[in-house]
Amino acid sequence: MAEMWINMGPQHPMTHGLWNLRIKVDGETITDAEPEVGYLHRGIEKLCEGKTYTQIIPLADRLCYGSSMTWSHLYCLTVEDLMGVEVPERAEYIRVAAIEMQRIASHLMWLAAYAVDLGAMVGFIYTMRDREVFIDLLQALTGSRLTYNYPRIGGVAHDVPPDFERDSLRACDYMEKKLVEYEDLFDGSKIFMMRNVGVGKLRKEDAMNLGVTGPPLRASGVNYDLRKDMSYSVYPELDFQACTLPDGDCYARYRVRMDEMYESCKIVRQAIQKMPKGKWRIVAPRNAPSGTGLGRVEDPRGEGMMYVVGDGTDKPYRLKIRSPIFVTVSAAKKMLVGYKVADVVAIMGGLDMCIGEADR
Amino acid sequence: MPARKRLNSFGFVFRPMKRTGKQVWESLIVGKPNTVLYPYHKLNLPPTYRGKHTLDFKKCIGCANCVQICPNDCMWMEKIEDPELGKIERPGIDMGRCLFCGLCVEVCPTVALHETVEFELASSDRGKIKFSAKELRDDSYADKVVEERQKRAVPVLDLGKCTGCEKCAGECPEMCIAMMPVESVGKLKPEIALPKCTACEKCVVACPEKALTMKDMYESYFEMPEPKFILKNCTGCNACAKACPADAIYMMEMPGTERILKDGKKSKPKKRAVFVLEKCVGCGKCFRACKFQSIEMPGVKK
Ligand code: SF4
Ligand code: SF4
Repeated sequence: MAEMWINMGPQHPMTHGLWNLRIKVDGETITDAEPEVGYLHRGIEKLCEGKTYTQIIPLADRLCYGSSMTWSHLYCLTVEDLMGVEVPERAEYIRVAAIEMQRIASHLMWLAAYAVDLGAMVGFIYTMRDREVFIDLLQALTGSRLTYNYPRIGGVAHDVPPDFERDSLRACDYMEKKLVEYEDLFDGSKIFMMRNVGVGKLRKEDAMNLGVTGPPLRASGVNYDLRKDMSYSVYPELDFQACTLPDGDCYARYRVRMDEMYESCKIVRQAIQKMPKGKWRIVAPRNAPSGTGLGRVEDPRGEGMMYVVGDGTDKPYRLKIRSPIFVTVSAAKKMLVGYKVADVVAIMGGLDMCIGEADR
Repeated sequence: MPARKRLNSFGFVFRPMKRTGKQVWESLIVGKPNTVLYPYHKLNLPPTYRGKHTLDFKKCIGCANCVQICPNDCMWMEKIEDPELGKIERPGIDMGRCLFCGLCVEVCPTVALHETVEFELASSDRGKIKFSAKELRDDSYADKVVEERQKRAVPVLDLGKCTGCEKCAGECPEMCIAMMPVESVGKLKPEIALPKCTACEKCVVACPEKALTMKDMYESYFEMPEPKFILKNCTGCNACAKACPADAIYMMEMPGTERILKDGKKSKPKKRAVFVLEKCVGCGKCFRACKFQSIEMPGVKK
């Protein structure tokens, strides 16, 4: 039978954003694949060159609405590296608690989208409902629901609200109960398992060669988590594990994210309990020295990196953003070839695409 | 990390069914719904929520710091004639462009701008979500909210009354007052290191001219640009002192610049600007007002 190219995207329910997946099919079998991004390019890197360091924080939020806390934290980390600013310890703990809540919220949103991709509408509704718990917490903490604009260069914008500690400990308990429920819903469903186990295998070598990071890499059996391997903030003082699984299929990716949510609950609890009293923000200088700053964090989707060049004024000369998804999507070919068209949704959905940060 | 659960096909059907059934029981039959009936019931928003702005006209000094920090350029300054406050400048906001980042509230030196929990801003007309300063006005809102930023009392200098007698510097137990000579006017002026100040009010009591007064100031987390004064360009035109919203610029007479007029009398001496930088809020209005390039402020838009 003749082979042909099919465009899945840019407007396709599978894409979760604007990007195009071109697949070459032979009957039902995929023989080649080619991801195309660039439909959502907003020129954020260039935009940043005309703004002062403080004004970029809300822009960094908008790189990815699913995990905006991580991105603005990453930006602040990078500029602090450039300016040589020491952050008060309380601010670090607040940031870590907020990032881990954001990780849970982000993974839950992924799970919701993934469930609905695979036809499990119930999963979508339950996970979105429980994500609300964490979004509400972050809203009480920061004042906004999705794009928080909470970290600042030299700390965080304001102190935690009075009931925050009680509420977040409760939310963690609630979440751990609900995670068991999801396991029953998803691992307990024959259809979900049939569409996941053994689908979209990514070999360890391919994953490493292509620069895949985050949950897809850890699901391929590489134990690489920046929170452990290149610790930043106060992660060395917290007790948690990097979750890895050797299989490299869609099920392993799902499992790694579920396990990460357990670990995140643990981290939030520890961070809240260990949080010292004191200042949460210091006055950061307005002008950065000339030089460079680099920051790397473990985003819910992989390794995020920013590189900033300062030239002595109050605006950056250049800001480079490394997005995890932009790199991870290049593994699409390795994952897709040999599987059926019906598996594309499961395989690409399992990557947790976020086009906002991939296209910048 | 819980281990993978191996299920038989019986479990594969009944596990998810049990969970769904339980949820249906909880939300439909026990009656604990997960949603609210929106226009009739509303969610409780936390007090930190960032919604529509309000502006306290009496607190605002018209410094335009909020206009400058706004990442989307959605604010502008309006010239207003107010029966109580006279000729003033106050900011207006275009909510259609606002990204609700809250930076304008954070940078305001007098905490005149607040964000309310009001979020229902939708309108069929773009012009209706453009709020002029008068529409934002709410002078009593600040009393209703608990303010995040800390106030503290600090001595504020009125340079016009100061004679440079050094009494305050001798009185300060923390040694935070240094007498600095102002070359152009040949006088000493106290400079107060505010971070060290403990608000003991000894200097205020000591001052014979009542030039120092205690005033509540909000602590700021932003480092603002400071004006640099170039004496040789200054003509003494008074434009900067008029523009300064914080009264940090004083026009002082330079001794020895009097000319003898034809009728034998002396003319008035020339005037030069003197800055009291502790009062400066870093807005750059003096820089923009000066026609003779005698004030420099790197990083501020002309
Ligand atoms: S909240 Fe942000 S975007 Fe809106 S007016 Fe204030 S500074 Fe501008
Ligand atoms: S920053 Fe505050 S004081 Fe200055 S113009 Fe804006 S609202 Fe008024």
